[in-house]
Amino acid sequence: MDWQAVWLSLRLSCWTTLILLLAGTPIAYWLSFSPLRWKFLLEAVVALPLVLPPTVLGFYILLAIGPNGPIGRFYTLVTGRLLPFSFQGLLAASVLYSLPFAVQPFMSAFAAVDRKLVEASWCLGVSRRETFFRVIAPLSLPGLVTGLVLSFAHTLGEFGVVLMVGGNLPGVTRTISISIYDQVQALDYAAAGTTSALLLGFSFVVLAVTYALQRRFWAVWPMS
Amino acid sequence: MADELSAEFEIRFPSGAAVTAALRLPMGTPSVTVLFGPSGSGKTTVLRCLAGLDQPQAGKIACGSEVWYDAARGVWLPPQKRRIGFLFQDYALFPHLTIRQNVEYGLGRWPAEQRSQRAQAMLELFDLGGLGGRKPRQLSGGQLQRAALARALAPGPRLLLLDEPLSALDAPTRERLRGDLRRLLVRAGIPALVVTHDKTEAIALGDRMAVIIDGKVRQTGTVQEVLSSPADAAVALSVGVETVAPARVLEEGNGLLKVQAGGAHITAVDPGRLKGPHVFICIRAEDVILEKGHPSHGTARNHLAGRITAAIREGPVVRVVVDCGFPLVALVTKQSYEDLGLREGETVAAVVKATSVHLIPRGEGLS
Repeated sequence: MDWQAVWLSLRLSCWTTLILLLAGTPIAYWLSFSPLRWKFLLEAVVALPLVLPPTVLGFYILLAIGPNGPIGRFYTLVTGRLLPFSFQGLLAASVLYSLPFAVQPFMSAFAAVDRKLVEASWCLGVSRRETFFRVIAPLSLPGLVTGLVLSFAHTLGEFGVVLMVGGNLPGVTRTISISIYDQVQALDYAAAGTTSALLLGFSFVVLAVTYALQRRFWAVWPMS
Repeated sequence: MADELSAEFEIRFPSGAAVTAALRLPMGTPSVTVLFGPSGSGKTTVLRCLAGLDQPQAGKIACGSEVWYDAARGVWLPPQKRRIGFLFQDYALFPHLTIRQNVEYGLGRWPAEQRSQRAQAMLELFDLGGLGGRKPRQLSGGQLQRAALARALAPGPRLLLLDEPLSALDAPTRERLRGDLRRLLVRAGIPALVVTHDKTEAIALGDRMAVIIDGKVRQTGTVQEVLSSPADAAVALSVGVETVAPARVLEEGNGLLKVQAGGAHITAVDPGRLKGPHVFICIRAEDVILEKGHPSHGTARNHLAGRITAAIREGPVVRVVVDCGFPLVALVTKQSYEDLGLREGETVAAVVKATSVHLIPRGEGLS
């Protein structure tokens, strides 16, 4: 078993989930509540990773974060290091790749919150930001949890984008799925089987626990 | 000037509909003003603009010397800054918080001790003393209404806005709570603006009344004033004066006017502000008496002969339409209807006092 790869994948998933919580929430909030008509354009961009092959996505991310790409050049300027084939580059790619898995459940959760509750909060003198934390977020909890779990599980299992952007550097960018691919290439079916079973079991447990918890949440806060 | 909410604005919707409001509310005294109008007339929109939940495109809203909205100067005060209480149609209590937490919700900046004292006082004021720990879904309609009032009033707003406060209740509860709500609004001690489409509710709750039709505020005054002297025919129709018919002034004298409506001649009291010979006559169905055969000679000036064209039974009363040159609606009890042996096609005499015939200048409202 390639424990180094397992550990790397877990680290990558945790960071991706955390960043998606911080970045995906405002995006979803804006998409849900902005009165602007052209917001569907951003909505489409967010959903792109759902339909694009990981190789296409990975290709463009590689160009963007490469030493000649805008993001890559800025990163090198600031840190003096290169983004491609590094953990940070892989993280950036993962965040983009899993963006719709966080933003879409967030959005449908926000949209399900009764608009009048939000307005009632405003009329009671509570700011928009505080209203989000005291009314919208608590009532959207099941959707927020779903989005985070889906992002986590999706990052854990990603393959194509990692291969394009991260390569296969042990301890840096060799994630669990790449490790399984390597083991199969090396005809080490036993090791590949163990790792695959671990990933399967882990994913199943995470999803099952989430759905079980959600059932409880929905029973507590029926959103009619 | 200082203690008055004055609003004059226009809001247009993408659909093309527009609502214009010109409205003044006295802020010094705790009086209840009813914003009355048929559904779809724009009542709720006016309320939302006053609250700052919808933004008009033109006009000005000022509360005393404080400007809430001024299109010309680009001023827009968000709802958080207006110090108003808003009661939503279905109360909009936060489902994830207890009743006490709901009441405390708007007191975020208060010190903890004062906050809980205030919440307790509000709960007791609205007879919710033992229900503070419950969630909204465990309360009845009437309790929810009181909880929503307590929450809206806890931060000490200077104006209370209520959107159809009784419509979320079932009919028997509504009947029961109509009187209670008036008592609670007086107890609140601040001016209140209540939106309703129900005439009974308007009479039961309001001191003053503003009538809005097709997105325009048509008349403001005391409830009695508006109901007994509607400013135009559309107002008359919406406040429930059943007969509204076009007529022409024939002669005047002794403070009375003789008008012709269809083929009938009617005497009415001269309201003194008619601008031409064309008028609408408005007669409430309750003010029409039906007699069979020769009309008796009481003090009533108008005895109109006509044929019954329709009789609609409405519980204990019958709504009778008599064609006496124009369709005149009368409301009689089922008992009298049967005692008189009235029937469709039958000829009757309709008796109306001159003081019950209200004249409205023609050309405003209905055309």
